[in-house]
Amino acid sequence: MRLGIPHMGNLYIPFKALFQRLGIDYIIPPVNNQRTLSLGVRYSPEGLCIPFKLTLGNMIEAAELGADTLLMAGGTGICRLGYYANTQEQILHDLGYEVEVVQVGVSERKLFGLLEVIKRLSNNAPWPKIISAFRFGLAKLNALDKIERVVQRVRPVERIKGTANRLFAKAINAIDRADDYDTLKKVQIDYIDQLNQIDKDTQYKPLVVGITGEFYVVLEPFSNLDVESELGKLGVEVRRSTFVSEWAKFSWFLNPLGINEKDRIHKAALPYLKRDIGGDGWESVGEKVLHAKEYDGIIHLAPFTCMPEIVAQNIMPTTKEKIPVLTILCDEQIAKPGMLTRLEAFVDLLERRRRTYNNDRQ
Amino acid sequence: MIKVGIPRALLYYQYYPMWKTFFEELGAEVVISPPTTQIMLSSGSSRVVAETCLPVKVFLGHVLSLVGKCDYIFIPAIRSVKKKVYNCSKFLGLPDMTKAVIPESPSILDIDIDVNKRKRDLYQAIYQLGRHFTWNPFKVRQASIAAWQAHLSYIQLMSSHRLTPPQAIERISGTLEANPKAYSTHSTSTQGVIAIIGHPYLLYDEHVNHRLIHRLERFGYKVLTPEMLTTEGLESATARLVGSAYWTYEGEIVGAGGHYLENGADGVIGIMTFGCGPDSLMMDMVRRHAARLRATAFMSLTVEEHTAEAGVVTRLEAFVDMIQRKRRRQVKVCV
Amino acid sequence: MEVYLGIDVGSVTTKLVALDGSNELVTYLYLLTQGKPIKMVQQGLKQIKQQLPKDADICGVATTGSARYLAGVIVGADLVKNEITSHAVAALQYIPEVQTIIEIGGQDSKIIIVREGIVIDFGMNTVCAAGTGSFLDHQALRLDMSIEEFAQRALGSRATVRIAGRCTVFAESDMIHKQQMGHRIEDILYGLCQALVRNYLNNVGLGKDIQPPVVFQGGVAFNQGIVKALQEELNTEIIVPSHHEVMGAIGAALLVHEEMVRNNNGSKFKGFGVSEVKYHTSSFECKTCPNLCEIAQLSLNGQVLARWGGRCDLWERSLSS
Repeated sequence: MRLGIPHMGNLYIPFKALFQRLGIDYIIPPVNNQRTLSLGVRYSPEGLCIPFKLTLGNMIEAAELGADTLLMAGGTGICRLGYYANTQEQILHDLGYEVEVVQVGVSERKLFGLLEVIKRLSNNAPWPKIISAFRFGLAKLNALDKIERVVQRVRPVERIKGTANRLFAKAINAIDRADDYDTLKKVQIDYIDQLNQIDKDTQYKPLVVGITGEFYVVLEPFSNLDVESELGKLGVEVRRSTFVSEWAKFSWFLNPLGINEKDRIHKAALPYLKRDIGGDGWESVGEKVLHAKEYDGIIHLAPFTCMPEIVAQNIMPTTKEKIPVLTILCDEQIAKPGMLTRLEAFVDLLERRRRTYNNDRQ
Repeated sequence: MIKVGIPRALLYYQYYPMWKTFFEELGAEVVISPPTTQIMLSSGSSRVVAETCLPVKVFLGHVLSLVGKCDYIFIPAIRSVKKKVYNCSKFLGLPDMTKAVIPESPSILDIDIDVNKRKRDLYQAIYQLGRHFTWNPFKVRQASIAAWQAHLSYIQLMSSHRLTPPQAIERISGTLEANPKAYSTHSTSTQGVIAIIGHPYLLYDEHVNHRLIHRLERFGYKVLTPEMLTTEGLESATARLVGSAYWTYEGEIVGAGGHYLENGADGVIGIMTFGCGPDSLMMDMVRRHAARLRATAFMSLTVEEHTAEAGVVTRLEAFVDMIQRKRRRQVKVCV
Repeated sequence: MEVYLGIDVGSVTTKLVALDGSNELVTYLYLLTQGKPIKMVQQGLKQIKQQLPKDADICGVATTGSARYLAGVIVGADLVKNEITSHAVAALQYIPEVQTIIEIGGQDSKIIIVREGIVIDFGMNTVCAAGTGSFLDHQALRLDMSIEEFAQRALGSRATVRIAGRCTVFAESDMIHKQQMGHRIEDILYGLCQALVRNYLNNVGLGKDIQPPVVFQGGVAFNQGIVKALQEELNTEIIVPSHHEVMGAIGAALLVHEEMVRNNNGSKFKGFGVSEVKYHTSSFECKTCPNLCEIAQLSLNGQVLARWGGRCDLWERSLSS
């Protein structure tokens, strides 16, 4: 058996650590690129979202490299995602790849769904060994997210644009290579230190923009054309509550407060949307309401044809809590120049709004 | 008397007799919106972002046509009617979305239907709904039992008499549906049998599907629909194709598609709307099955707001030609 | 001499062909519709009459294309056939072993899958024109060059330029961006050809089992840049029949020939005289129901010949009764 996984942000790094520690033969397909997208678009049914297309592209590329078993997120009661593994397996079979797509239930079993699948794939490794490998993977995930939060703060204020991004890329590499907890800890401290030492414009007060929306397009920079980096270049500080560690529902493990944050978001959404509608639609509405006072603007990322986000998109403009929202629909059609123009215009709008708001207060 | 409005859209075709019985038993008057027109569609469409799917736009048009004509509008949030089988996000968001984009709408009666929760929650939800009409829990209980009976006999009527939902509703309530002639079962169907699969709100909304059934009958075909199969038949066909069902209304597409591709039809036409999340996946399953079987012709027809009638007609003609030329060839080979 | 006429009235071009009793092409015409389908059918009949031998006997007429019903009423067609069947029948006549037919026209495009001489699957463009000829016309116009020059220069491409965007408008902005970045015009032109082919395969060709031999017909097959891009994308030889631009009309003529032999009735052809008659078109709004359909009607000497455009068949019915 050779195991392959699709990409979502840096999620492959903790998975790699997990597989290595359990002695599972694995393949990490190339990170998302133009070819991945073309393959995914060509073999996907019409009207599917970019997460489906890109993960399908990853699976094809992994199968080309010899993977015969693929992991895919799924479950019931969560938009279309639960149907993806089955469909992708059939597409791969029709293309002539004899692969099995194993669905990891992220909705109901949470962590246990993944643990059970890993147990099976590791040829029934003993539980203590699995748990210890798992913990190491989680530690890497945690380190990645901690560093990324610092990167988000530094990007808008660094004097030489791109410094934080370059350091972040190096940090990802170093975390990937770290073999034990000690090295990992050192890498984390070292890079956060370096990031803090970057030459910054301390006078400059950046605009604060919240990023919300569907988790895949929020977490996979290739699908949103690096919207966070681009905002950083425009001198905007980005905040988001969705992190890989949070999405993967490990949050209770790493950060017991994470659950409260989610409850707070849901509560804020209640006057406008009474129930979970699958995906992240409830959260999108809630985050707008909750952060209307705290942020200068919100960027709402949604895959084109995403069912829950369309509901959210219709409800968001009608809330009493007002804050400018820019919805970006991500699919293979968006081109960078067009998106940059809209981002710049949005940032100008926020800048002007802040100025008037401040004048009013004086 | 309190008037309750029911939009003639989306789940109307599945549950109308049940809903009507429930509200009438509680002493309310039920008002239905008229059949879809272009004006209704445009008015619904103008309230939402363009990416919103056609059936929701149609639904909102129906709600708008009921404004001022009733005291309440009934919009249930149906999450699940079978354990671990869920509905599309748009059905769950429907009450809140309607409230957001149609602020002038009469008060919305919503109810959460989710059989994954405890039974008590469901009873509680039904009682909360009934409380708008009576304080008496026994009366609500009686109304819901009567409603359930009405629903069962409706389903039974359709599969035993091979009726479409509009025909069955017409028979039960005696009201005249939009265009009764369109569904007259043609005795002159000599060309063969074509099955159409898809959600009832597409198959029986003549404005949306450009009078599909009528056109096929005029070509001389007998038309079969998913409701003409039993629930068990749909479920077993669904299981053969995809294992266990994932979507609440999967039987109407995957089950009916699987069944009719394997037996009983010369051709199968699947109808879906552009941008429908569940349908794009389910139709793809049926299409793959058809490609593997290679026995029965299959075509999927995508409709959206701006679908031109001419395009639908050309596709239907080509599909019918495909079936006929294939059969003519087979006859020749046999001789 | 036995002659069968096939008339294909599309949104952009009108095609007429004449076949003889052994299905050999006698003559053909390729005209621009210019938004005047009636006038073009009349003019086409007049012209083709001059090109036909003196002893030509019209034994059957068929119409196809998006204006097939209108054209059918004008000429008195024996058969009105949709363009998918017509294209398939014509391709099978010339390349009997064909398995895939690609047809890209001005505003429509199709794919037809054939196995053992029988159509088993087909697709047409749904909501968008990005996989059709109008995509290139639009970009050629914007670059201020003729479509012929476009095709010629696209072949001179040496490097790959990827133009993003399924939508004509998005593709245009991306093309402008690529121009501003200083890419060679030849490379951009070929990039556009590749974009059309990608759009076509991802839209019309999606989920279709494309197997060789592949036949490419329709007006866009004139464009060698597209032929090359298709060849590269599908990694197989692309066969372009010598009369690829009139294949729909040829198919209609073949079908009416078959039909006339089977039915053994005389042709309903109204004669070449119809090119001299003055048809009158008008329209009105039907107020029978809230749909307010726009009904178009065609009349001759005050007598209504045909009506179209209703969502129901009220007006068509009133005519036949």
